[in-house]
Amino acid sequence: MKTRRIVLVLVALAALAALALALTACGSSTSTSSSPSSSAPKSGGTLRVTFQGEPTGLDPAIAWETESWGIERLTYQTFLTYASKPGAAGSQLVPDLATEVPTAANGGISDGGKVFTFHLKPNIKFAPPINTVVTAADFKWSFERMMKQPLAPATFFYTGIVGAQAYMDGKAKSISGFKVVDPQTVQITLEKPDVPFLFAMTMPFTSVMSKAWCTEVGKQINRKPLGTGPYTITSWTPGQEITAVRNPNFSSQGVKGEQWVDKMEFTFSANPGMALLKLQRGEVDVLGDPIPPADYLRVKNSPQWGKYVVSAPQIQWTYLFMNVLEKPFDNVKVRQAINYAIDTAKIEKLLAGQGQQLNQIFPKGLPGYQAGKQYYTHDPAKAKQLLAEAGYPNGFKTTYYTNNVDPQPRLAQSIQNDLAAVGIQASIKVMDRSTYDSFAVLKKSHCSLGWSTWWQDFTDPSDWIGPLFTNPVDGGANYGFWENPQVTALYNASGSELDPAKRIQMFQQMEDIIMQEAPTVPLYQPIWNSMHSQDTGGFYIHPGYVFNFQHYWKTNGQ
Amino acid sequence: MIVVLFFVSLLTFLLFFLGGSNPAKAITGTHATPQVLARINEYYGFDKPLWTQYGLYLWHLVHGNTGTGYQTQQAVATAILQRFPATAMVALSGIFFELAIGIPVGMMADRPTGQFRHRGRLVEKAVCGPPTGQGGQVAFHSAAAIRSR
Repeated sequence: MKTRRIVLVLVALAALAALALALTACGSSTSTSSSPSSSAPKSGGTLRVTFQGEPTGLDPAIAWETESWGIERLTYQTFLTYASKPGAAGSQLVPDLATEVPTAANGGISDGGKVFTFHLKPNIKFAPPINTVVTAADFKWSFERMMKQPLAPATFFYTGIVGAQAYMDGKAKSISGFKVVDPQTVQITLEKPDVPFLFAMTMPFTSVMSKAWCTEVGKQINRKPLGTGPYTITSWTPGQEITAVRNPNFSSQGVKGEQWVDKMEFTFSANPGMALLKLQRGEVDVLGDPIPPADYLRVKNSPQWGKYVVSAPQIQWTYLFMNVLEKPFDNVKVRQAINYAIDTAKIEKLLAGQGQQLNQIFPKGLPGYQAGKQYYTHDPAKAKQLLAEAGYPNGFKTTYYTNNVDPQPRLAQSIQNDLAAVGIQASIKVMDRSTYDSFAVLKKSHCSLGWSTWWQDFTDPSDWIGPLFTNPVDGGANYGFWENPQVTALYNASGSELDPAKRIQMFQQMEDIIMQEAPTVPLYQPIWNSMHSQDTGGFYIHPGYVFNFQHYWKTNGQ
Repeated sequence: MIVVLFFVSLLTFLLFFLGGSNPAKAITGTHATPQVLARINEYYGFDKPLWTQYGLYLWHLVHGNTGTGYQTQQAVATAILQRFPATAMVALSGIFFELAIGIPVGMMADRPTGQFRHRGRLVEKAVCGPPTGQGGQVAFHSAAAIRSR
């Protein structure tokens, strides 16, 4: 009897201990939300954001993910950026640390598109404890640091600068084409005219950094960023949180509207479903991840929460590729037939708010997009006719490759049905995400039919045509290994076309040729569905950057 | 012990590299060009034969050099130390539960009467057995106990 009682007591203690541990793991503080929101911006308060992932690092030379860029852009600035507005207005190029956007008219672009001159705004200061005023030399130092960084993933945007490759190869001590004309002026000379270079200067890889700070923190620069931006990162607990506070030196830039809240708290490892519940309880202000698809329709249609849901189509597209090196996809009529076979309206329905159908190459928001344009209608009869003309009156067998990340497996079934309706028997092969990414890009995989997605590096159609439809190399982003001499010639010529309207027309011409040759079937454009709390003001989703945290405020000042 | 450590290190190493993933692509994302990926492969030695890479890995490890994370760029030693408190808590909790269950069961097993003693022995083996490789014996004895009814 005595033993049994001891056993019971110990088991009870164990259960209590388990409960205590579980509670500490889930515990968080609550706060009350207060009065109804007003529309005028208000200073003060803390913005609380959740992310499931975590930036791998905040070194601007290396970081290239939504979480990293959203937080990095609080601290680091570049010469140029995109307007901090939702919708089409967000695709406009504007100056950040430069005084103006270089154009042919203001002399910022000269020598036929080979020379770019940037004038630095005066009195830009690094954050404390550095506090020094930024000069053109700081830009040169930061840029050369980035180009020499072994892990820098984006150097290829800038190897067109005179002397850049020699510098990277260790044959020169600096990049001869990157000149410090005077403390307020940088002049960059390219080997040949390249208008997209201007857009590449918006990317955080070109952020200005402090040599003194980088020397002081060494390898820790990845964890301890310091720049000129409106906020400074004061703490980073790996796997848990990052805290940012206002940079007192930012006001010297005379920019309004980018420092409303006093503090920002980013919480990581947050399951998106839990984050949604926490937001509804008043513990979170902004969801860093999209609303879980399973919850989206319910929340959107809820009378209480629907008004806090914000949706924006992203400058991104998801598409089918056909490997033109693999029979029968080397036959243009087969590829056109498949374009007629796929029902993108059905795919949009299946996505239930996570995407909108796309029937052209350029998504909405990207210059070159044409409202209402549809290259191929859904026409199974036409598809069968083309297949017969191509020599496949009874269709053929093939394999459709995909990964296991929702919604792809569901879409794969829709695509399989569409193909079966015209006589093409496609078996589906599913792989995990990273395996598929490595598999599909290699010629030796013989990956004949699959899907891919591409989101913008910067908001210009050259970013679509170049990587995806020119220069097919093993392991590159041109999954169909397709090219066309007319498109390549137009693409190369577009690099020196300084008239913006003419340039866009050239890209639409390229799009026409590509869609005629049909190595791809455009499917949809993803929609980012986000949500903010009752007390968050000024919230919007940027078409390119997604988040501009520095623009949001707390309506209750808390 | 050394043999076990060797095989654990080999298995961990192989799982990482044979899993079909591309570490360079994991670092850069899918937009990097093949030239960029080649540069990163060269930097980290991913382009060397697997046995060469493993040899280098062991060499660094026995010299106390755990290196830096591919994606985080943080010193691995620092990363391990930062996670140590959480790991310690989990390990200590495990030990606590083993004691909380094991001690009373052990006491049951210690009683001189037949049935409790036998059952206590079985549970004791079930709790302590698997970690020390006696799980198979527990299954055998349990099966024997059921058969003998």
